[in-house]
Amino acid sequence: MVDNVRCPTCGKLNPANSTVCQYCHSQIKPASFSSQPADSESDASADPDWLSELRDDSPPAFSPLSSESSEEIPDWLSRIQNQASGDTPSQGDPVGDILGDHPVPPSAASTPPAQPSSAQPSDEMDWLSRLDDAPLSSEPTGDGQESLSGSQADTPPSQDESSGADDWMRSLTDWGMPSSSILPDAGSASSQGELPQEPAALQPNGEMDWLRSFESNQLPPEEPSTPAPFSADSLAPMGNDDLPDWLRGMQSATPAPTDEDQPAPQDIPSSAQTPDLPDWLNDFQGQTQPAADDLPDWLAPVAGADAFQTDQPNQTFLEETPPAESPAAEVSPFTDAAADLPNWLQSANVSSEPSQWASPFASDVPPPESDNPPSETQPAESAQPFVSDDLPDWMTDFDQKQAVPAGFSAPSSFAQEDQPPSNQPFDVDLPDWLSEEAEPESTAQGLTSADATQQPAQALSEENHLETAELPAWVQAMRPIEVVMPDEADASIVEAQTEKTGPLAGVRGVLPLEESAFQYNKPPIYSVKLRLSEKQRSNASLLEAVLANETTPVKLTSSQSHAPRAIQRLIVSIFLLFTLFVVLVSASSDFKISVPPQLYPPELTSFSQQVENLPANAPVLVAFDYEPGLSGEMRFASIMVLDHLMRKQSRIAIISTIPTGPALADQLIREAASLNSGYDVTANVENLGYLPGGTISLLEFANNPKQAAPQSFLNAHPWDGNALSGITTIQDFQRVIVLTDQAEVGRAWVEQVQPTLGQVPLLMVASAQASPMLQPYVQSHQVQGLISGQMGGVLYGQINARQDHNIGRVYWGAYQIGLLLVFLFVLVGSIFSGVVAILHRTQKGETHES
Amino acid sequence: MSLELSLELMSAILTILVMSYLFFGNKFFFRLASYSFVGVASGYVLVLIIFQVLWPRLVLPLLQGNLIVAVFPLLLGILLLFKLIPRLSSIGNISMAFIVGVGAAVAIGGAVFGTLLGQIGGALVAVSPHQTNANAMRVTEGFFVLLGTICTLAYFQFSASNRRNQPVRRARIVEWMGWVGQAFIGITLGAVFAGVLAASISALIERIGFVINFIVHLAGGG
Amino acid sequence: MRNPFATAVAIAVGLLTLLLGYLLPAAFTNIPVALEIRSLMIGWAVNLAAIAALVAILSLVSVHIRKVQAKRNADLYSLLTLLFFIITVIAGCVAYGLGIYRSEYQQVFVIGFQAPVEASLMAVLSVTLILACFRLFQRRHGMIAITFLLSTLVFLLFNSGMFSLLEPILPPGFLGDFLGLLQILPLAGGRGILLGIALGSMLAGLRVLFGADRPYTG
Repeated sequence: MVDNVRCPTCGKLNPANSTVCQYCHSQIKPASFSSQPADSESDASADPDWLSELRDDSPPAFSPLSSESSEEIPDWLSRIQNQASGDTPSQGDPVGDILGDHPVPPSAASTPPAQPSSAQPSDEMDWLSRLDDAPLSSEPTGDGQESLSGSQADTPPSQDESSGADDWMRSLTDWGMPSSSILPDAGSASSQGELPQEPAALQPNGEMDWLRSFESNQLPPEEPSTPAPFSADSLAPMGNDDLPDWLRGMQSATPAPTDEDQPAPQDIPSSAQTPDLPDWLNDFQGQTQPAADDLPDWLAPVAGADAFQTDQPNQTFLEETPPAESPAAEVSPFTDAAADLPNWLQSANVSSEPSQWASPFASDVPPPESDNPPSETQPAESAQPFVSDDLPDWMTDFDQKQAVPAGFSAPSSFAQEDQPPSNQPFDVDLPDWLSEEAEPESTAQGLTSADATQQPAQALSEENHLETAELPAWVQAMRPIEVVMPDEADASIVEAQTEKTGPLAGVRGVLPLEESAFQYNKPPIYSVKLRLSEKQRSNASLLEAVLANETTPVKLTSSQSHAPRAIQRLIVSIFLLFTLFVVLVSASSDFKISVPPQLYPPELTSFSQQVENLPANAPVLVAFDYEPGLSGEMRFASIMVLDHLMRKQSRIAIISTIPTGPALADQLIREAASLNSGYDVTANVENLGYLPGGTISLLEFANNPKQAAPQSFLNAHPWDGNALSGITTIQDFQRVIVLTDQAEVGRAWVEQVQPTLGQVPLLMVASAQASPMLQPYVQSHQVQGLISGQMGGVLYGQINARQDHNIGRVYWGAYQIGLLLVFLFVLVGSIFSGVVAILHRTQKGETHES
Repeated sequence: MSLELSLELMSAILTILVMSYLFFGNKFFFRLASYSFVGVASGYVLVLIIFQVLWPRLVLPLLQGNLIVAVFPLLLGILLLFKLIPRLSSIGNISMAFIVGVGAAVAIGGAVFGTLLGQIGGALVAVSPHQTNANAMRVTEGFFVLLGTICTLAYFQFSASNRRNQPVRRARIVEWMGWVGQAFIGITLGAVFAGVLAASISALIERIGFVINFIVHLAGGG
Repeated sequence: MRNPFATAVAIAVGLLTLLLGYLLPAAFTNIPVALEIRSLMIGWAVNLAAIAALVAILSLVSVHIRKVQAKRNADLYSLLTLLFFIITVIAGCVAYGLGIYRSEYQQVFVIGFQAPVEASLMAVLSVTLILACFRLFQRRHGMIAITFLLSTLVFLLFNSGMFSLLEPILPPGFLGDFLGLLQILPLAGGRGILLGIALGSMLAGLRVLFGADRPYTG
């Protein structure tokens, strides 16, 4: 494994001692590391005390791995180290920024980097040494920390490096405290409550505000069912005075079990490691611990393994597994594997939670075979959760299926059962802030897929079945796309994704936390006050004025005439009625203003000629389309026309589109017949009655008269009578005469019937109110004759020398007087109203001017 | 009392009741006449439709077996009766659609072939020197009528050009023609209104004369 | 589209009637089948129009029944309407059902009742129109109002025939030409109005046939 080093850029293998890739000439190792020779001894000298102590106490399987992997510390790890050495807890700590807008103490922010490096080891190592002094000082540490310590063991023995290592260790503890305190689960919370050393040692100004908030909010008051992992003895070296208030509160709130109640080996590692772990590690602890608690019995060993990896004490697991057996073997594969990982995997590794780093890649990358000969017992013991005896049947089967290459396939397939393979790389790429988001879910689910992947990986790595660092095909298939892309593009992409700040500074391929997710800006505050320009203001005022005009009730002016309408009506009515009554009473005296004019309109003479030219016994269609209301006017002309027709012995067919028309026609026929004693009404007149449908019925009658009027007013079979004999179509009539009082009715006859008449003349007797609108049809020769109003009737009787029977002449004088009165009323009234209107406007204008 | 005298009495009473409006306004007597008139008129139309239209045009053909004439309008007529029920009135829309469809076609055909073509032809013939009995006076008369017709149509022309920074106005020539058209329209409507007044005066004279004759007839014992 | 079936019926029936009645050449429309179809459809429409009138009358009666049955302010005049309606219908059923007194029925209910009422209403209209002229210039101004009033006055005299009084003082033939000119004056405006009405009718009909207007829905 250490013979070759895989280039992080191109992924090709290079000799182990090469610092520059032979293929792509990119640096394989970071400059800080490559510039200094790898020396395990110097590394050891450079290690802090607690690390050396840990190394001394660690099982033999742990140290070789650490020393072997010293040269192959991945660049992400070196960058973490560099970053940690240069960063104060308040500077460049994105996690701290992410975890809220908690203000960083200015003293911490202003602390120069050198000072902590010099001052820190004494404080930090003190409590670590105290931890080491605890009964189980060799209790395994967390994976991440173990790897880090392993790496530290391989770092060059320069003072800078050592101090830098101390610094980043301190920064890691700075991360870890808040995160661990956030852990919601009781076990971790209780363990956090026992974290004695961090606040006093690393935060001289005391805990931060957010810690205070968690002091009151996050810490569970009591968990009687959960044994407190920390004994009072374990906290004794720290001293209560060193503890911050919130820790004291937790200490007092949490019943401190006695040593008999709580085994010491569980207490010390947790108290020693938890503060050292970054927050994301503690988050992971928070995920795994309750999962283990919630797991069924058959999964307890698995959970125990998980807890074991995260150094979270699990009593059940500890009862089954000796604490000293597994940690080194558990950690070593990861440490070694991390060094041999390709760049993309390292990136994924870095971006994921440190405690989770080991599991996926330990499963992917086999541990060294020759350099790290595991002991005979360690694999079996470390893999104890997967021992077939403890496993259920299905797990046993599963274990057997993963026989060859167990180191790869077992965990991956285990993970594949939980998650689709395509999701795995993204799962491990989750940054800690995302894992915090996912924490409750993962807590509820118990084991995450990563955990599940981690456990068999660690167990199997101890079995020494892992051979080479070659990735299996399915893992390669899951690699990010940039790995399989051409080198240049890959390099550019990786360079573009290099983390610049925070603990992951220098690590490539991580999710761009700073750039995208964490660049929170306060949302712009928009003023609710509307700003208006002058133009908008003027427009608004104009609109308001318009609306005001619309909404303001308009004062209704009273009647502008000076006399009330009733009085006006009364005066006009009395005057008109009295005058006409007098004229009518004196009608016998033949009162008139003037004789009827001797000038005849051409349409009247045409009408008369059309009737006069009728042959004897000619069929004529007469339409009585006027209302009874105008019968007083219409009857004068109508009777004269009917009289003329009767004198011509015409056969008359009567039709009407008005319901009362047939009755009016019947009356007029009788009146006209009384003027023509020799005319046989019964034989020559047929009243076809009423046509429903108005205009449509006119068209029907024009097209098919028999269908339109199957029955007559008084006769069931009118078409068989003398009056309609020989009539099948409308063109069989010699004349069509329409008596109408409305221009619309006359227009309907012209439009619907006249086009079908052919050469048959259409004649009209119209009211005076309809004749002006019917004149155009006369002028266009669509109507061949027109008699208009009462005067037309009088003239028609006059032109036909029927003055003796001209009833119109009886009322002629009254008619003239009536129209003259109307003329005067209209004239005087209009002048009067015009003058009043002018005066009113003048007064209005004067009022406005004044 | 003969039927004729009874009718005259009834007509005279109704005339006086209606004329009371001139002195008392819309009061009891006038309402008495108008409400009773509505009842009689609607009842008469109902009887007329049933016995003069539906019986010979629908029922008799149905009884005679002429189904094609009667069945379809009978079904549509039944649907039309649903118009009396507000909730089911939409059922009668099909029947109304049939009437409206035929009515629209009839109106279009009549307007085009009866009025548009006829009046346009009449206007052109009037200015033609080749018309019957053509002389200078008739041709001038024709041009005058044509001008008035065009100006009247121009008055109803409401489309106008919209120029920037200028009020929306019709073209100047259209404005002028519209102004002239107003005069022609005013003249025509004045003539119509005079005809209405003349018709109403005729009706008034006829009613007064009827009452006088009735009184004379009644006084004369006759 | 609201009630598409009714719209389809209106369009189809309208187009068929228009084509067979007006638009297609006589060579097509004079075919007996085409004539029969056109006649049949128009006949159906006439019958439906009669039924529509019947529905309108029944609706009017129902309105008056509701007004009579109203608990508050019951309209006794509506009772009068219903009473005369019933009388007229019963009498009509007797006259037409039995085939007797049809002419008398017509005389009583049309000549004796409807004609005097309608004529009297027309007579009252004369007074109302005169009073309306009093307020003409208070409501309308401008060219139309002036020409309307002048035209009314002139045509009142024209209809009364009093221009003949001027005949002795006018040169021979002048009165005839003057009256002829007077008759021509409203002709131009009347033709323009008729053309406008025809265009409007055509447009309204086309809108119905295109389904843009659906007056039958509602």
